[in-house]
Amino acid sequence: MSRYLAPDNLAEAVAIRAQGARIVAGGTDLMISLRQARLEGQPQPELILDVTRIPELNRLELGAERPFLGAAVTFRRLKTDPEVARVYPLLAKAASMVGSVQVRQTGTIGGNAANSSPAADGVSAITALGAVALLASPRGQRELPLSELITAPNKNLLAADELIMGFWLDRLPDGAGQAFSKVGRRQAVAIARLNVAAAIAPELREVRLSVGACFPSPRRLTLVEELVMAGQPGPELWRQAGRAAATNFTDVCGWRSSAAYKVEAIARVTARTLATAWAKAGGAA
Amino acid sequence: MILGTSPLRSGSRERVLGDTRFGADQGQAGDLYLACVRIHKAPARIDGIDPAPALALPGVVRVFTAADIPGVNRLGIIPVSKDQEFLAEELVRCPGQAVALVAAETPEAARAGARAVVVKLTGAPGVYDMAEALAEGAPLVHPGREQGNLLDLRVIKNGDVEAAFKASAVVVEADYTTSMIEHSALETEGGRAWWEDGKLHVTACTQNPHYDRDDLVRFLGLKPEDLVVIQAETGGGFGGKLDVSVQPYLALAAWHLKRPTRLVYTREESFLSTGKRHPFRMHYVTGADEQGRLTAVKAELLADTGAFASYGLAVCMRAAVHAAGPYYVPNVDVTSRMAYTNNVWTGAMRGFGVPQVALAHEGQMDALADALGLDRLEIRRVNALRPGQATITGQVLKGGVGLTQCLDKVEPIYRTWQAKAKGDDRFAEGVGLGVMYYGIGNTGVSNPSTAQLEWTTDGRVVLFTGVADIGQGSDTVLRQLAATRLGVRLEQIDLVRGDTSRTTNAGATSASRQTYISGNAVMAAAENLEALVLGEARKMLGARHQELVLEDGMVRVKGDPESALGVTEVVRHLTQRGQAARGEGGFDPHTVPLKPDTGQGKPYAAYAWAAQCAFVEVDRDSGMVRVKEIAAAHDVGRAIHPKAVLGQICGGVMMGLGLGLMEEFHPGKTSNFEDYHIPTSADAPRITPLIVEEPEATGPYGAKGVGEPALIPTAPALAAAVGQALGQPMRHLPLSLERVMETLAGAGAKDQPC
Repeated sequence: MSRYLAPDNLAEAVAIRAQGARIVAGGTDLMISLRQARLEGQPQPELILDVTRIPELNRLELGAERPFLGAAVTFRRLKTDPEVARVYPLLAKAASMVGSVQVRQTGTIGGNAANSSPAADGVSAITALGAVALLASPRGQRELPLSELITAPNKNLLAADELIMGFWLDRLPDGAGQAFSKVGRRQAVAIARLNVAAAIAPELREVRLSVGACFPSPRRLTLVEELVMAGQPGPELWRQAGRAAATNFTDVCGWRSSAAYKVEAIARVTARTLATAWAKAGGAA
Repeated sequence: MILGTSPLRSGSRERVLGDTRFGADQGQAGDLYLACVRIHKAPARIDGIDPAPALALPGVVRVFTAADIPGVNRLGIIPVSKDQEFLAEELVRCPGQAVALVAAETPEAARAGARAVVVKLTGAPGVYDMAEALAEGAPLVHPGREQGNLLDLRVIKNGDVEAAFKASAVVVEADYTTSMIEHSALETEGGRAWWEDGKLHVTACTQNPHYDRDDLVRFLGLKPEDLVVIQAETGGGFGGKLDVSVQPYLALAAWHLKRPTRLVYTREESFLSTGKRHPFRMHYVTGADEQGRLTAVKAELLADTGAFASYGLAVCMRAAVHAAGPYYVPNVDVTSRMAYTNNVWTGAMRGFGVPQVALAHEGQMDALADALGLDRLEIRRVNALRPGQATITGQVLKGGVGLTQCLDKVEPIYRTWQAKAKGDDRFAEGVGLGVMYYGIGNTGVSNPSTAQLEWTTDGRVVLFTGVADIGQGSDTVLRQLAATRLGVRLEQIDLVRGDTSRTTNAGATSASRQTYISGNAVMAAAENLEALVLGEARKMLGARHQELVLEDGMVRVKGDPESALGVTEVVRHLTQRGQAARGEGGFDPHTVPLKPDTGQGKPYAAYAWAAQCAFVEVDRDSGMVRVKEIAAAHDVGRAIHPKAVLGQICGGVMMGLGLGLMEEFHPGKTSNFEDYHIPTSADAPRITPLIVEEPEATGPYGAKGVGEPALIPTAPALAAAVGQALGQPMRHLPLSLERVMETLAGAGAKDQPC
């Protein structure tokens, strides 16, 4: 039988985590793996640490000089919070496309990162926003870019005694247009086959692009971003960028017959998402 | 009025309150828990099974193997093709087959025991492709079987197709495929077995308690009177609960240990071990004259039955009979083959092969219309079977043929959507049609039902039926029929259902047959009960030459309002003489078996008809298909309970949407709903169900069936709609992201994004 602890302060949580506790936030991934372990006769964790009552992890301070997104913030909150919709509409959109009402109600952005699925919609979104994870342990706090924290599918550099407090996000230039697209096998409760997050500042001063469910770990496609910044905004540029993103995919992952869909979809959906972001930045189509 | 109204369905209150006791809710304190030892790689020879490590674990009571089965270890729903070893004897034939059964005091101990049993296996060569299975030298799934891997071959032949093709204005030829599908009933299989009054009792979710009883009796070597099967409330079946699942394990352990047992499958075990929908490969050649009238259909069907026969014979034959669709076709040559492979076995699923062939016959109709420059709806109207015409089995239809009425209903909607479907640079839009017919009941064989009605001395009527209500609503519909026929209120009818010790065989809840066949059995029982009551009343009234009628619980003499008797009085009179006021009824639809060499005969006594149309949009960037609208017109003969009919239509459409767009079971890979997608509410289009009532002379108050028809035209309509959106016929299901994108990408520069 596992012991379930839900402290209301960070110090206690860090101490419990240091005893080797498994962390639970929304539980939408953890409960599945615990059930699987039970069916297979694998041991259940002795300690389960519920981090959802810790104030620091529930902070959502997007207007700050350095915007902060607490790890225990739920997708429902991200979907419905007016400040998120104003500052980071691509994040609100991504959150609205996660799972189902039930999953969004309990699932958190921190859990999304800690589970480290390459298809995680929340991770793709905040990767485009330059997320830097803030981690706490008895040894103190440290920062690590999300794109470095997650190293491979379901693998990350979170130490056994560490927990994710939240993410520092970049402030985007005024007037930046943002867009998020998701492709799944059905309209809801679908793991992304592909997701694309894009932000474009007026006059192409800044371009951000991340593509999820295609790479082993989250990343901004900096080569594509540079290509766009150097180009003439318009359909031809978005098409070029889409093809460049697809090339980036085959460069990293190789070309197999199963990649045929991805190559086409990355090119098309990336182009569309960039076009949408540009239009939202006030650019002509 | 009870018919044609929609009274609250039996059991609704309990379901809403969470009081319904499904298979999984039957357990009681002190039950033994069971767990199966299943093998995931097949085929494999069993070299030995060592239960000792399991028996050494605390709480493990016993480990059973095939050697412990006292009766015949061959199960399967069709009597002539029982081939499934419920605990494998020498050879594991498909992934998921069980080789041992563990009984323990707790579920954890049972699972630990199942993991601890040591099974020594030697891999054997297998065959996993239905075409390869029939090739020379393929490994045999059932070694020593005379026909090799060919489970069945059925033909329907009439006229001369080759000559007809030569004389046709146009001939179209194409291949079609469908995927393996999991039923995904909300409730996984579960139940309990126990001893009571010296008899073994088994309760579990099921679609046919009496078949289960007969299978279990064989399995344990008992006499039918030694074993009672009671249908637990059943949370969906869709054909997946026709074959036994947990019942043999429950019964075997309870029989040996003389203790109650319980077993509930996890979703994973349900996915792994129960039957699936047959995947089909189909090759069609279809000819028509200049007016679009069909001249000939040549169809070659091949399906995969997996390692066991289950309902394969029925699906093979039904697919052949329906292969040309609901059209008049003067020349036909259908070959339907079904092959054993080492894949998970396939069996009955809503439609029995007809949803698969409908994809092909409808694709062919569109291809013909396009080739001839005809309207896709008109070509269907031109060819729609009408009274007086013969089906491809040579059965001349008399009445109850409502296809043109269904087409009339959907036509205005179809035309409106066609005008609306323009699309833009982001979304391509398309509209498609699908039509079908479906024979009610089993194909060309006797498939009787029976029922009893008893009037009690306290003024109630008890309906005894073996019909398993699995959510489709037969409990209510049969009560409506009985109440109407006897002239009593619906609330006066009590129900005893699905208990083999108290009811008689009504046949399976399958083949859309219960309203028609068991409904007729109830009608016959009511007629006999009425005759008994009126006969007794006649004696009591001395009204020998006058006409008596039964209404509102009274026996009245026509033209003599003064003379009347309460039915209860008559019933008391009967019981005082030691006679129960009980009427027995039965019904077996009139069919003529199909000739083996030509497939000619009269396979069904009644047919249901339907036309559906679908309006879809396709995202040109991602290949995602969203279904905007579906209209579904169904000729049900008579809607006894219209809300239940509408529920069946909407549910069927959603299941058809899954078959059309997303569902695909990969044997050995798919494990649960994480990797098997069924439509969610967010995928549901606006559905417009339309009821057509073309009375069936042989049906109860004209009724037929709708359970399977609801699903059949949906996938063909979706394939046509997506095909229209993409400008390319879509002939392979599901219409996955990958298939759609391949078509989009192949369409060339004109479809480039932005």
